[in-house]
Amino acid sequence: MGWFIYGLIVGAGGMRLVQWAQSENRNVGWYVWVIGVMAVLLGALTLQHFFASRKELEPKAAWRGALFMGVPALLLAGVAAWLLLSSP
Amino acid sequence: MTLAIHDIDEAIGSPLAEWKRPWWVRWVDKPTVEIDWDLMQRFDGRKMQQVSWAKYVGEDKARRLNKLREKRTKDWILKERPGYTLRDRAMDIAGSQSGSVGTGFLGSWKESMEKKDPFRQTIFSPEELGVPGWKGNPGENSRMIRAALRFFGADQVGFVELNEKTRKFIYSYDARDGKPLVFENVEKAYETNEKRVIPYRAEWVIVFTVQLSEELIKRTYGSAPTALSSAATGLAYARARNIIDRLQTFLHILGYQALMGTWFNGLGIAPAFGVMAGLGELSRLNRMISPEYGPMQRIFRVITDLPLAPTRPIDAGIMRFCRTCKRCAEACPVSVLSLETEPSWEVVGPWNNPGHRAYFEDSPRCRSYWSVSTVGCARCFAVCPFSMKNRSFMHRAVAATISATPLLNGFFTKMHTAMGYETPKDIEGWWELNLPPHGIETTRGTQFE
Repeated sequence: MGWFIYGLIVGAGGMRLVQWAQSENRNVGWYVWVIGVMAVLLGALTLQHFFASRKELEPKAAWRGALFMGVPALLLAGVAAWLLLSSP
Repeated sequence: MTLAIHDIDEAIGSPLAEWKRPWWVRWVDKPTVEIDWDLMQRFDGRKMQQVSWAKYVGEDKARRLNKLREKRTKDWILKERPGYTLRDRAMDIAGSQSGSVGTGFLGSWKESMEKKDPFRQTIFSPEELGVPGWKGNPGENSRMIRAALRFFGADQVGFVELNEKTRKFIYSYDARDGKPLVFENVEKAYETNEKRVIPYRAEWVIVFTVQLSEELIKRTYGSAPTALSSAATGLAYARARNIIDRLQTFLHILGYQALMGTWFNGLGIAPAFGVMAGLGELSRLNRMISPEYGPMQRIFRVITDLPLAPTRPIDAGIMRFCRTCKRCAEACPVSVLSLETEPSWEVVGPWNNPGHRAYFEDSPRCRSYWSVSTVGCARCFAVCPFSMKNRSFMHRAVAATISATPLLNGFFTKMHTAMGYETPKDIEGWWELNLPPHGIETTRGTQFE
């Protein structure tokens, strides 16, 4: 169920971004989408590890995994968003 | 009326707090069956149908039905009726064997037959029932043994062919009573006051593991083991005795021999058979580590004359990983394990068996520490990076990388510590958990995974 909701959010969000870029006639470089996809994938791995580690009764591993992977995922997402918004 | 809980403390303290039931289940004050406590009396156990069935239906009818049961048992085995074949019957009877206190060379089936327990089905050999013994090709036999052992409670199952090389893994003397274990050209295994004889024709060894609770073994007091953490190992051995006994009964009913030592660690060298059967690889622990359960298992072996298809050794990068990891040796409270990077041909003492290049350990030092700590220690098992559950994708990704290349082994060792997997777990907190039976996950590598 969690993955279904994650997929819905990512799918709907991605579609909305593409629509927005087209309606604004933005010239978005291909690498922006690559960085965005990497952020989404890393985010998915972070969530999987976090909730799986909680189930493994390893809360420390859950939080440290969130730190080691979640922060880079957020940074990548931030870079992608910044490049998207600043594209001509 | 629902169960009354007045505040949050009461809810947390409730014995029902840790028991996760489906959300639609309601706790109620009265069961859904009606009870009249005035009408209710204490029941005489002798009236149970299992005990007094013959009285209820009449002695003649009971005798007739018992004969019918015996006749049909035999007829259906001969007709190979699905679900009633010799192996199905063997499974039913062996499964209900509760096991002996210890293990025996030939098994406890003979003893069980002599006791004539009316609540147990009669154990028989094919000759005694007048039916042909089980016949299958080695592949079919191996699958059958794996299915039966899994049902009895084993985890991994593999097979080793006994030849002039692998016979060296069988102890020359029984570990417990010192009787020589000898091979002879005889049909059936036998035992005298002087020796136990294994027939050369019993050419296969069934090797299986019983899992330890990783969750329990990590409940240490700093680096010292606790009586609680030690229970994980004790339970695995106790379960194995039962499984071995069932396997011996199962094979006896199929018409084959199944030989074990006189105690759970008897007959032959456990890690040697585990490695040769491909259940895992030898490690710095000088014990076997498997890809599925790491070091969290104990290995058992039974010799049989049932033809089996040998399984092959494996390479999952485990021994390579041990060269640089060394966490077990560093964490050992009494420095029992080798800290050398390369394994050695030189044994540490007579408790080691030479002839393989390994990380030999100072076993008596380990055993001495058990006396000091008052319990069996498994700290090395607890800190091993292979001692993991398998829900996070990370564990499989790391295992696959370790198998492919040793390049990241050092990084993985550091990350294992950094992620907190080695941190001893809360001892008292274990009693509050709602764990699966035996505190283990049993679906790895199965169709239920």
